[in-house]
Amino acid sequence: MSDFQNEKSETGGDSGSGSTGSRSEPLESERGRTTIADGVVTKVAGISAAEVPGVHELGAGAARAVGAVTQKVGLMDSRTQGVSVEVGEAEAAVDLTVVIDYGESIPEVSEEIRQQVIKRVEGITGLRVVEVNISVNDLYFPGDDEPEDSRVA
Amino acid sequence: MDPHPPISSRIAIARFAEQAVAADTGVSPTEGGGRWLTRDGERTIPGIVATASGDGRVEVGLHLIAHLPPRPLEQQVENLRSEILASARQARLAEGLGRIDVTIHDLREADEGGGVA
Repeated sequence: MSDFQNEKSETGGDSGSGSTGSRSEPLESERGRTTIADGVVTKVAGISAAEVPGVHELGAGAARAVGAVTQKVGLMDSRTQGVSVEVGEAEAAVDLTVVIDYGESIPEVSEEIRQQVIKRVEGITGLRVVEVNISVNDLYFPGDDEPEDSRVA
Repeated sequence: MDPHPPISSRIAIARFAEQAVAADTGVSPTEGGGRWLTRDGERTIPGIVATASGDGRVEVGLHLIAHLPPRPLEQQVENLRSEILASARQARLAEGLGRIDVTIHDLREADEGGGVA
């Protein structure tokens, strides 16, 4: 199945798209600097994207298969699958790969993911989200997880 | 031997930071394999680096793991700074307290541990 690549979303501080406000300075006050690791932003983005109705799961096919194994042996966190981020001093860009339930509107679900990720990442980390790029990698059909009946008794 | 020997303002401030972090259920200190700690006599204070700066004050570095569910981190961090400053004021050490830099290394369940790769 071919990917559905959404357009990049440039968000401004006063765009009304869930942004908590423009921030041009780093997370710094006169009392000290706050640094937020990439992994924190990755998890917030992954958790918030997975909350959106219509998102079946995150990650590309091969990554999901490998992830299922590595999660079982404790080597990988399901909350970071399908998410990559670039974090600067004051801004973050997020790339997501998702599987959407068949029948859902891909543009609507994608836009809701984008709004949710911006709202959560900006609200929790204080970083300004400048891009949320979404790649819809697959559709999930009910019954995909059920094993096929054996042809022999 | 004095069971409570006098401590430096650096160690006192490190202890205030330790208490502030321990009182906050939304964060825990990292267990960074010796990278981020302050030695306090026989014990170590994990996740907290208190260092004397050139101007005679003590700078504090907090190395933390935030807990799920995620909450606004800036507010949490400012609360920690306020707690440390309040303790330093009470001990008349506020003048000697410098910057409090905070690094959030990860976001985990509270019972997942504080190790950082």
